[in-house]
This record gives sequence, structure tokens and C-alpha cells, in this order.
Amino acid sequence: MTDPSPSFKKAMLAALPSLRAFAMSLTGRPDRADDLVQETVMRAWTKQESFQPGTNMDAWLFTILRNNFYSQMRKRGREVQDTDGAFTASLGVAPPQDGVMDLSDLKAALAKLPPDQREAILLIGASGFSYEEAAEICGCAVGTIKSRVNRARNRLQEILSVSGASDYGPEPKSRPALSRAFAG
Amino acid sequence: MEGRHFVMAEEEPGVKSWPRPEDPLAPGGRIGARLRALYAAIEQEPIPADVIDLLEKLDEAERQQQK
Repeated sequence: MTDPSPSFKKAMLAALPSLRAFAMSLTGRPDRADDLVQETVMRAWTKQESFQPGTNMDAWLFTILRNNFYSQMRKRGREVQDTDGAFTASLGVAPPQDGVMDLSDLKAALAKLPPDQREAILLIGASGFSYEEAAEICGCAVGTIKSRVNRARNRLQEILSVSGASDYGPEPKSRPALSRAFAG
Repeated sequence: MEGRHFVMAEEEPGVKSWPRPEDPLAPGGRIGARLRALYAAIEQEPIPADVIDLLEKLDEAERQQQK
């Protein structure tokens, strides 16, 4: 009926912020996250016929980005071990201001998780995907995602309750001050 | 965002499931709220102009082709 590309472009634009946040959590570095997002946009565009309208475009884009990231990691070999380091290195940022939630404990705790568990808990708890969508993105069984999330959740609770005092909820109005949460 | 909801779903085959509201991982839960805040901060950062430009160019090229 009509040209499908305007809505495809629009849907991609809408997905970019959450896609970029996921890229940041994978790479730990803004420059590499932006490269990854750019490559994902390019790939997604060239294979847009493989996207089924009516299905979840976010999950589709996250899958492309994730596959691209891990195939790059495999090619580079050595940097695989560096992912954790990069994630940790991006932690020492944004000193908390008055009334601003201190997320540094959370970031430090996330950095201690195995990458597969960290990815699972971020897809569910931060990106807001269902367990089924997260399983699709990671190319594994729903049960695997649930078990990774369980282990990650238990470990986070353990670490965070040990680190203690600054354990309170977010204040929406304070979020802009956190705008460099992952960036280093 | 469409297709992504923080709602409780019954555990049935073919039905999407999310953390239950009482789960610390649910959006209002202790951990869930902080994970969301972490991403919300990044999501508020501007999308690099390069990426927007790329998308515009791809779209434009496709339009030209279709003429």
C-alpha cells in the first residue's frame, strides 16, 4: 500500500536510546558503543526485509547488535577479557549530589557478575524485555535466561546488602544529573 | 515503548513473562528501580549526529531508488 520505509526509520529512531544503553553495557565505552549502534543501524537497514512487521523491533535490533558485538570480540580475541575491565573502568564517575541516587554501588556490583548473567539481568531489569524476548536476543532457552537472572539477582542482592547504606530508590527528577552513568 | 511492558504475566507457554511485581527486579523493586535509573541516564544522552545522518541517508537513498 504505502512505502514502509518511513515507519521503519521512525521505529529505528525510537529504539536508538535503549539500543545505545545496551551497547554501553556491552562495551563499557561511549565511542565503541556509538560505533556498534552505527553498525547495527547499517546492518538492520540492509536486512530490513527479514524484519517481520508486527514483531518486536527492539528485540530484533538488540539481536543484531549483540551478534555483531560478539563476532567482533571473537575476531579480536584478546579484548574478550577486556570487556569486564572496560565495564569496571567506566564506574568511577558522577559523584552523587544532594538527593541523587548513588548508582556507583550498583555499577560495581554489576561489574562483578559473569558477563552472561550481567547481560541477562540488564535485558530484563534495565531494558524491560520479557524473559522470552531476552532468550531470543541471546539465542538461548527461556529457562537459561531465567536461571541467569536468578543467579544475578541473588548475587546483586548479596553484594548490595553488604555494601549497605546507600540502598534507596530512584528519584525521577534527579536523573539528568546521572547522565554520564556509564561514561567515563 | 511498544512490546516492552513491565507487567505480570501468567506462566503459560507462548505468553510473555516478566518479573513479578513483588520481585526486587520488577521496575518498582529495589534492584529493578536502580537498573532502570542506570539505563535512563544513558538513554537521555543525545544520539550521535552520525547515526541520525546515516539513517537519513539510507532512507533518502531508498527513496531515490524507488522513483
